Amino acid sequence: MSYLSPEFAVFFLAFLVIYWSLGRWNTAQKIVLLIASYGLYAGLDWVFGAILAIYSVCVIAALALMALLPSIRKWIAGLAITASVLNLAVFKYFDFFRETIQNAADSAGFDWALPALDILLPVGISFYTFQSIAYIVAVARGEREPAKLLDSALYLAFFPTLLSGPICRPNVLLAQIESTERRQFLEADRAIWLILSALVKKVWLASWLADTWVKPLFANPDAYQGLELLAGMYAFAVQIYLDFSGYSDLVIGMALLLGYKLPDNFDYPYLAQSLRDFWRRWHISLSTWIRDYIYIPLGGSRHGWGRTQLTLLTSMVISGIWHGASLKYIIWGAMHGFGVVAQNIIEKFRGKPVRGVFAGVVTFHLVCVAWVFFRADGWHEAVNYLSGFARFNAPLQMNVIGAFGLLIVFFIFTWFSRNFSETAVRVLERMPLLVKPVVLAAIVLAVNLLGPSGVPAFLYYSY
Amino acid sequence: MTLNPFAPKKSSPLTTLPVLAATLALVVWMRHDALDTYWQQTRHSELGLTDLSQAPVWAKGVQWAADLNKSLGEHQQQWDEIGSRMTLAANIVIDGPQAVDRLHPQAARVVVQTNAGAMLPSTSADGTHLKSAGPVLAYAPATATAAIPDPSVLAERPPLPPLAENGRIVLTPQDKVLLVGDSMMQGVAPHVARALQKANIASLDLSKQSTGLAYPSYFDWPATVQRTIPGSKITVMVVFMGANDTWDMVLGGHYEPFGTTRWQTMYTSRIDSMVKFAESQNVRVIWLGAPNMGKEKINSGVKVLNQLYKAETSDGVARYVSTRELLSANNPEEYQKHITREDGKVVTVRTDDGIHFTRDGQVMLSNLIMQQFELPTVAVVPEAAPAQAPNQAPTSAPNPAPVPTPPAPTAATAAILTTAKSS
Repeated sequence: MSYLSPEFAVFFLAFLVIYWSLGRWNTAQKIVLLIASYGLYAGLDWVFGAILAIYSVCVIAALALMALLPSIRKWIAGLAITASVLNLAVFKYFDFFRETIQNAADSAGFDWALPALDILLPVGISFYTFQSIAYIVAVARGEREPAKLLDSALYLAFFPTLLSGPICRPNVLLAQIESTERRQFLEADRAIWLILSALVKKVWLASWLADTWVKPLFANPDAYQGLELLAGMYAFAVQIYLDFSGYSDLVIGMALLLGYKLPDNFDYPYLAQSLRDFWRRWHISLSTWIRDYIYIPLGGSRHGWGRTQLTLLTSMVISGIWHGASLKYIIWGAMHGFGVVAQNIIEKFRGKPVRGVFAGVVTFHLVCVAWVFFRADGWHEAVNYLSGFARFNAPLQMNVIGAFGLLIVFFIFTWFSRNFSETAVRVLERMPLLVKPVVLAAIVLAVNLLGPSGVPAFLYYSY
Repeated sequence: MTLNPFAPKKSSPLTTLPVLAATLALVVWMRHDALDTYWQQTRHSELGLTDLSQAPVWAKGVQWAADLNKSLGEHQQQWDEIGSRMTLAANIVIDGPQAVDRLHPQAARVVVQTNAGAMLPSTSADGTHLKSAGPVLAYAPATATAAIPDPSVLAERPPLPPLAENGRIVLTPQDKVLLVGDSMMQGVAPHVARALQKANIASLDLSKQSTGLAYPSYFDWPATVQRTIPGSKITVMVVFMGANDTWDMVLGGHYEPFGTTRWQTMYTSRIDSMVKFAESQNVRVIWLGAPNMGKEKINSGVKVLNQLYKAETSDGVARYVSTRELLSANNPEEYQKHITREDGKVVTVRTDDGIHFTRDGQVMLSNLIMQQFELPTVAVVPEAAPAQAPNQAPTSAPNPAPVPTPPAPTAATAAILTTAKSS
């Protein structure tokens, strides 16, 4: 059941009624939340639910063992993390490595035929694996003790964040789950605003951009001219932002309605004035996770300037590989890695940080070019797409003036967006109760009519 | 202060949940017809909400939504118009006034009269702003039989592409290929479009997920085809669908079980209305059969659909091309996720859902479609990585099997497998 489907809307509303009617019984609320989480997840495919349950039991057992044997807790943590990563890797990369090993065997003259296994990637496995690693590390470092069984299981299965994050740390989500105080209904109007924002971003704008500007251009770039391809590149950058930040708005809004406050995942990333700044604003829960659990353990900035750059580059490439076992994602990660290193070199020589409008424009374009690799079918196709920028041999078929105009509107709107959101929340808060459903229904209806028919899928479900 | 209705309200489930419930109720009130369509199309069962429309209170809701939709549609048309002018302006800025002559006749808006009486505005020729027709936007019933084209429109149509001696359709850069279908076609279409583009042949991909011929209230392919072909330069239409059609149909307010005579008659009339309309517009049709499927219900269903497709596309202008032999190369009767090539290597051709294709599978299907064409340049290579040159470029090689018949799992299939592997 997609979070944007009519079934889910009915389910979620019914669930909220049950959930809040249990408001006096904290544990009962957590139990129904856990049941709902597993129900929704297993509804996608019962195997997914089974895998999550088995994985959760293993993690919880490892945590219990760590509490039981404090002298070797770091060893247990190391084993548990290795096993978690291996588990993720098998699901994510088996087919890729099968082909790589097959090709290597072919070129070495071995006549092997590796069997192809039917491995279905459980949606969200990356996200709950990352959350569990954060949890194991926190216990290993003695920052906290393992939580109760129910709380740990809910932390790993909490349905708003289960499918595509945000990746929540134990000190954020688990701490809220553990709280024994009566759960408060938090900022309902902000939650409603976030859900409306998600609908507008995803169902209307991102879908329109995808159908009109992204799909035709990326499917057949050779049929288009340089200016059109340029507009298509910008369009995908905006599409993926609207898609993923819309998703984050939706789950943060849903969690708020359940009485949980999740961290922001996006902070107007295209207003970043440098690549480092971009990564502080884009998919924040992933970039901070990579910083804390890959970059710092690899050495961070503790071994001199040169090593730091190498570590940065490595972390970015790993981030690329996480997105998919394909050269195009590695190139995408490496482009960001080299970009950040270049920024550090410039800053080292200039002696002051990179910033300003010009730096912002350059950053946006670097990010956009890297997105072409992310979106194209493969790196060959991405290079082909980019090489089309120099093509000016036939009339334009698409309205590029309109596209560039819309890009400017997007930036202007983004600039004022934060104030706009706050104002919108205030307006909702002050709106008379009898008027509110009419206004909300009108917005939902308009988005429904403006968007494509059917339920759109989120891009990040596949990672 | 507390009496002021505009004072900030404290959040409470007791105030917020009724607001959310009322919002949901209002949306259902205005969109219950669309919800019914959605339910039919995704769950293949009756929700029964449309019956509510008989009550004036419920009909009012639908009416309001339809009015809003109409007004949005009118604005959309204005924006499209402004968009076309901006495109022209950009071309004039770049190319000077002669740009007007060089432009595609895409700005022309042709209005087609169907025998159902609905006025169908055509889309721009490139189809890029073809708004996906939602339930309310669907223009004409799928039951409309092929519209009788206006002779003046037909006079402007390009001639029927000729056939080569080997049965292939001879394409020139004046031709344009329309790609129609469901999510199966969505995966294959970009590969076909790229391969055609390499030979300077334009294409238009209208494929849309979750569509087919069984639920015209959700998406109406016959109507879409009828409003796309006139006024565009389409000369060949490739159709690949069926994955969403192996379910009961709603006929006259009642469910007609899949596969009954009545079901088949209705489905056939929809195939026929697409094929006959295309032929009346000098458009050749290539109809791909659905491959074997990994889910039994769908697999047994597509065998029925394939028979219907085949029966309606065997007049020489339209042709049926089977895909089962290609994607189940080792046993045409069975679904295969992986196929073993003659050299013993395993290629995964289908995705986990048992319906869609991996990239290798898509490329193989694309090559199968490209095999139906004789392209203007000899050296066009089907999509393949440069590192490993394909042994055989189907477009330049003599065709080992007569094209209109399904390719046997012989040399032709082997060639497709090899080129797919090398991509």
